[in-house]
Order: sequence, then C-alpha cells, then structure tokens
Amino acid sequence: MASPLINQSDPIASINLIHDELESFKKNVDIFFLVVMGSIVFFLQAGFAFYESGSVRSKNVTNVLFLNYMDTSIGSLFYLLCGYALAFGEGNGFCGTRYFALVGLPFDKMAHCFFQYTFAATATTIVKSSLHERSSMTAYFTSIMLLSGITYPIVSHWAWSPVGWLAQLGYRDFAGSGVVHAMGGSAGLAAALMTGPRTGRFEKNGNCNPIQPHSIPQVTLGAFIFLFGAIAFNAGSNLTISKSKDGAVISLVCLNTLICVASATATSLLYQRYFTASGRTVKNWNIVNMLNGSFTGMVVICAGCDQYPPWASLVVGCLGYFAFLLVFKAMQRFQIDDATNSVPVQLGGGYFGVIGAAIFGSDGIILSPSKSSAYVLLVNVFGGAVIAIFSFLSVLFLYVILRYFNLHRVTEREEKIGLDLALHNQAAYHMEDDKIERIISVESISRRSTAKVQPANSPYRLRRMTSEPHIQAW
Amino acid sequence: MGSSWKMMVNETYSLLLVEQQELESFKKNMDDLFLIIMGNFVFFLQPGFFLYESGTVRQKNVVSVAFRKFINTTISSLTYFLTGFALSFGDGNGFCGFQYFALVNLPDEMMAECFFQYTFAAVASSVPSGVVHERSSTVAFVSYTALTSGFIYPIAAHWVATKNGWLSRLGFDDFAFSGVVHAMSGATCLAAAWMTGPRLDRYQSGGQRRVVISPHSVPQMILGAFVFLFGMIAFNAGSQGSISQSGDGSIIAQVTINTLICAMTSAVTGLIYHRFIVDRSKKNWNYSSCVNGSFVGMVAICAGCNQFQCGGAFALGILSYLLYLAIQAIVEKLKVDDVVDGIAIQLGGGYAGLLSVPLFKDDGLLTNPSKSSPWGLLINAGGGIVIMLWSFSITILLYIVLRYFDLHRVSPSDEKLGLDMVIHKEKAYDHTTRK
Repeated sequence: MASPLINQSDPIASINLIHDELESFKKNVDIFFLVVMGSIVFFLQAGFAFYESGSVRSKNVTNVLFLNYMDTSIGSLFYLLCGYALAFGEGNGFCGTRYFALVGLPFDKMAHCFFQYTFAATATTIVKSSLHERSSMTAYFTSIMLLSGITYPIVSHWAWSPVGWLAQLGYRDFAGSGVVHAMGGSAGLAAALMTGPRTGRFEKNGNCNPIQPHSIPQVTLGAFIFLFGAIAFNAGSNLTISKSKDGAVISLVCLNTLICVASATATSLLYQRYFTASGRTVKNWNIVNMLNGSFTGMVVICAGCDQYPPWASLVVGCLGYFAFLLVFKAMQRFQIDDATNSVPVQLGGGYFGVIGAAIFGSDGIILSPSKSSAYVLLVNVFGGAVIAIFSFLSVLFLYVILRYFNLHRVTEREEKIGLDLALHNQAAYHMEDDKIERIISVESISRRSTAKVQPANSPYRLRRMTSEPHIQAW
Repeated sequence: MGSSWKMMVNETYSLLLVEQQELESFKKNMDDLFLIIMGNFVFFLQPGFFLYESGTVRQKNVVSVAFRKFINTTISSLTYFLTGFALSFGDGNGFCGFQYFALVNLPDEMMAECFFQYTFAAVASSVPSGVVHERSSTVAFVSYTALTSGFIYPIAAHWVATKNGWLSRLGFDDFAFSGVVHAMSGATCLAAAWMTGPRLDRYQSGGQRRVVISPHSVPQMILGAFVFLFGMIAFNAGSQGSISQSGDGSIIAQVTINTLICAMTSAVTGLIYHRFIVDRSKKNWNYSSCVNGSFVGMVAICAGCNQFQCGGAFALGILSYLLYLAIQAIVEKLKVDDVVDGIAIQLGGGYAGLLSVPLFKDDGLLTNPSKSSPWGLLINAGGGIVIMLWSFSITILLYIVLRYFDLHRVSPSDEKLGLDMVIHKEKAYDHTTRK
C-alpha cells in the first residue's frame, strides 16, 4: 500500500499530496457507488420479467420472458450507440451531440453511462408491459429502438443534463418520476391505444372480462424484486457519495421510499376491501390490487424522495394511489387494454409524483409558501405534461406507420393458439402425468443394488402415495 | 522572518484542518453507503421467506403466503418507523427508548442506521407467520406482525444493542442478533404454533400418526434458500455498522467467511445425517434436510461471526444442527405443527449461536479459558432465555385474547377449501385458460 511521500521540510506540499490522494479515492468510491447501485437497478429487469410473466396467461409466458430478456440486449445496444449521446453528450437544450457510439467518452463518465443505461432499460421495458399477448415482434423491436435510442434519451436530456431546457427552467425530478415513469406510461398508453385490446377482453356493451394472472408466485416475486431495486433506483440517483451531505441524503431517500411504498400498499388494500362495492360484498383481500398500489408508491416517490420529510412521503403514497385509480378507471372507460396495469401505475403515479415533489418538497408550497414555490409547481406541472405528450406523440407516430403496414399485432389465430407456440414454438409448461409421487421404502433384491434398473424385474419395490396431484409449474 | 514562519504554520494548520474535515465527512458518507447497501440486501430476505414458504405449503394456500409475506414489509415498516425505532434506539433507560417516535427529530447521522435496523425488524416479524401457514387467520397475522416489529423486537434490541440496555451492560455478546432476532422469533413461533393448533389433516387416527404434507414446488424452496444465503451474508456483514474505522474491513471479511463455513457445515451435517443415520436403506439424499441445515448454520453463526476463527465456525455448524434435531424432536413430541420447521431452526440455531460465543471466541471457554469466561457463558445463556421468555409470554398473551374471541385461526371448512379462495378469492395458478 503506497502512501504519499511526506516531506518534512515542505509541509504544504505534503498536505497537497494527501489532498490529491483523498480526491482520487473519492472519485473511485463514486464510481463504485454507481456500479453497485446500477447493478441492483439492472436486477429490476428480472423483476419485470417475473411480474409480467405471472400476469399473462400460461400460453404466452415464453413470449413475455423472451421480450423481457431481449429488451435488455437490444435496448443496451441502442442506448450505448446513440442514446447516451443524445442524453448526456452536452450539446444544446434539446439534445446532446457528442459521444455517439461512446466515441470519445472519458473514463470518469463511464460509470455514469452504465448507471444511466440501467435507467433507460427500466423506461424501455415499462412500455411493452401493456402490450402483452397480442403485440407483434416487429412492433416490439421498432419501439425498443425508438424508445431507448431516441425518445427516452431526449427526455432525460431535457430534465437531467445541465444544459437541458427543462433543467434550465427549474424542473425538479430527482429519480425520474416524470422522466422514466410518466414517459414510459404515456408511451405505453399510445402503444396500447394503437394496438387495440386483446381478443375477448372488452365486449360491445362495455363489459370488461377479467383475465387472471396464471401464477401468483411469479407476480409476487417480481413485486419483491421491484422493491429491492426501487431502493437502489432512488438512492443511486444521487450520483455521488463523496460530497459532504450525500450520506444523509441517500439515507433519507431510502427511508422515504419504504414509507411511501408502505403507505400506498396499505391505502390500496384498505380501499379495495372496504370502499369498493365488490370488496365489501365478496370480502376479499385482493393481492394483485395490493401489488399495483405498492408499485404506485414506488413510482410516486421517485421525484422528491431527497426532499420530503417522512410524513410527506406517507401522504404522497396515500394520494398517489388515487391518481392510479383515476387513470385505471379512465382506461377501462375508453376500452384500452393494459395487460399488466402498467399505464395507470406509471403514468398516473409518475405524473402525480412530479406534482407532489413540487408541493411537498423543501421549497414547495406546503413547507415554504411563496411566489417562487408557485413557480416551482408550475414548472413541474408543465414539464411533466411536456414529457408525457412528447413520448405519447413519438410512439403514436411509430404506430401510425406500423398500422399502415398492418404490422402492429399478431393475427387472431396466433393470438388464440398463444404466442408461445405461434411465435417461438416453445411451450412454457409441460404438464405430464407423474406416476410416482413419493418413495416410502426401498428394498434391494441383490447386493448389486446399483445395477441398471430393468423394467421387468426392477430391484426396487415402490409403493404409490395417494396425495394431492401437484403441478410442476411454478 | 518570524512572522512569515508563523503565517506558514497557520496556513499549514488550517489546510490540515480542512483535510481532516473532508476525510471525516467522507468516512461518514461511506458508513452510510455501507449500511444502505447491506440493508438493501437484507431486505431481499423478504422474497427469500416468500419463496421458501410458498414452496412449502400446498397449492391451495399459495396466494395467502404471497399476500402475507408482501404485506409484512408494509406492516413492519409502518410500525417500526412509528414506534419500533424509537423504542430500540431512542435515548432512554435500560428497558426501552423514548425518543424519535414517528421519526420526529431524527438526526441525519442516524437515518442510515434506522433503515438498516428496519430490515432486521422486517426479518423478525416475517419469521413467525411461517410456522402457522395454512390455518392462521388474517387478524392473528396482522396483530402478531405489528406487535413483533413495533414492540417485542425493538425492546429486545434495545436491551442488547444500546449502551444503556441492561443486557449489554451485563456483557451480553450477540453480534448480528442470533438471540435478539432468531431465538426471539423462534419463541414467538413456538407460542403461535402451539396456541393456533395443528393443521386439520396433519394428525390422523386420533392424533397418533403424523401425516407428511408435501411441498408443492421444490424450485421455489431452493430459490428461497439461495436468497437466504445471499441475504444472510449481508445480515452478518452489515452488523459491523461501519466500514471506516480501522480494522473494519478485515472483521467484515472474517464475518463473511465464517458465515459461509458455518452454513455449509450445517448443511452437510444434515445431508449426512439423513443419508446415513436416519434410514440407510432408503439411500435418500434429502434436499430438505440440506436446506434446513444451511438455515440452522446461518442463524447460529450470527452471534459470534466477528470473533470466531474458522475452526469455531465449523464446530458451531455441527453443534447447532444437533441442537436443531433435539428441538425438532421436542416439537414433534408436543404435537405442535410447524410448517417450515421454523421453531427448530430459529430456536435451536439462535440459542446455539448464543451459547457458542463464550465458548469459541478467542478468549473463550474452549479456546483460551480464564476466570471470566464462565460469566460470559452464564450471561449469554441466561440473557437468551430472558429474551425468549419475553417474546413467548407476550405472544401467549396476544393469543389468549385472540382465542377468547375465536379469531386465531380460520374455520375448518375454510381451511379445507384453502385460504386462497376463502380470503383472497384468487387462485395461485391458472393453467386452464389455454383457450
């Protein structure tokens, strides 16, 4: 371990040496911080995979998992090719102009690029979750290219690059309620609107047929992974750990995330059980509804978690659920089919989070009312709306082209068979009969009991158990 | 000449002060980051519990397991931030703390620690619901979860982890809360499982024969076991509390190695025990005994991982599995139905861990005995019993109230139908919609 050469006859130079060592160590630790947080945010991709896979019918599971795995691959290529350049390559107020294909990227920006890629992966994967069970591969690939290469980077440039025009106006969005979630939600809305609902989902008289998730354990595993990743999503958005107040800020961020999620979950649960007609008559504790509430909490807190006092995150979580409910009811009314409820969560929760950051933030209306706090609210409302409208229009434009060539969804026959077999020729589950349930006793007839098992005179005697049939799938 | 020398000395001194302040603030940031990363990994134990227990129950109860494990994060975070953190780490007397209720006036320096301690409380409140799956009611679940994370666990943590706490003043040594989290929740498990009663089809022929209820999904159980390993490494390493003091790094490294050794030794002990001692003729390499063994090892090593040499961790792996077997036999004798073996794992592993610290630490009874070593053993053993009695008695009181109103379990017909359809009106798996 090399330590700086302390020169007793020149104390100031020695102090400068120690100062330089400390500065370089701080840089290393900042990079370490971004790498660890980025890896945990990357694990969100697995969360999306399981949540969406559990939410669809079992004949589409391979397709869902395929799409999730692919969007990490394809999305990363396009983000690193032109996305990061458009997002953080300096440039003008609209977009960046340097570092295309990462040419010229300095070493000390690489960790930042990795971390921002994990956010881009999250934003991109949100959009496709509303389209499951009927979307074509062409639509999927083109929308991934558009979102991770152009739309999301431009939006993040506006809000997070120092020269972006929204940032210059004062738009405040710490971990991306608007930039990631509202953008993904409104893009998903455009895609779901243009793709059309699944066959048999809505009837002519306005009824909505429920389509049950095929595996609650997968849905719940996805939700837990979301929780795990959301903490790193918010904490990592601080981008540094070496400045003087950083530790306190990220600790507050983690606490606020937990409190907001707990509050939104509890609100959704109690509302659904005691305040809806179906909850009161059937008296059920609905798990999917509760999970949607908790996702809304995770999305809503992103914008202002570094500034909220803990009581504010409790309030924001509670109110955010009602923003979700509003968008959810609107989508049912307009017969827009969302396979995983991602549009209400992301768009409703994301936009409300942006508003909430302006209201409950440390220079917001509640905590320090003044003219400038009204301006902050105005900027956030405006900025969130612009982001949502921009991403909606960009995906709408893509889908107009796709619909012209009728490439936006699979044929009805393919949808009926299930995309697993139609598109991938690979069923997700194989339900074979299991003849042997449990072995109770084993007797070896000869000493060579490890001899090959022959079906005619098998060396083992087995007894069958009659217990409940179990399904191999999980 | 003299004044310019003085000026240079002053300038040097002020530069030095600036550097020292920068270094101190950086160290604080690093400690916070360490606690947050470790806390996030410990938080991932929640899906570990969910996966393991969901794989263990029958298919008709899977949604209720998923619901309870998820809502555990909600209930435990709300109660812990409301009252739990205050009772354990607010300034107070030897019994409990009195500051920071609802995190009011919480100073910046304590926030990361609050987050990390919450993840431990979430573990402590998640364990008891595991043993009473498939028959426990929602009311019972919500009440013992809120009680554990809001009251029982924080007070026990205060006794052990703060300077004022009476157990820590006596010299109770429990590094990563083998006793406070695991033995304590094991006692809660015992009280809950005993008062709730066994599952209806667990004992047949008038309570004589114990029926084997098979797990419905082994992949979920094994994934849960892997997640436990992942989380327990952080559970033990993060308990160091800081990364910036000198020596922290080597202690944490020792902790992680000891954790792995003890968990794996226990797992192998279980494997060998089931293959060669339980029934040699069956030639059974039983995954369940291996996995349970690893849990016992993980739980037992928490108490002393920062102080053991590798040999101590190895010995503890074997000894804790033996105590696990003893408690498992007692639980079966008492006809207490334990869905996931939680009582034996937590009680057996936790208490073995507590006993092991004064035995295997560097100046312990078995390694380097001295006059003061027996006192350490007495304190750990006695303190562990006090903690277990604390949680056992409060849970029994809760269940007396619940049983008076007959709210402690679901009705027999509901249990037969499965809690999924009865409470949540949702099936766990739906493979019928291939149309």
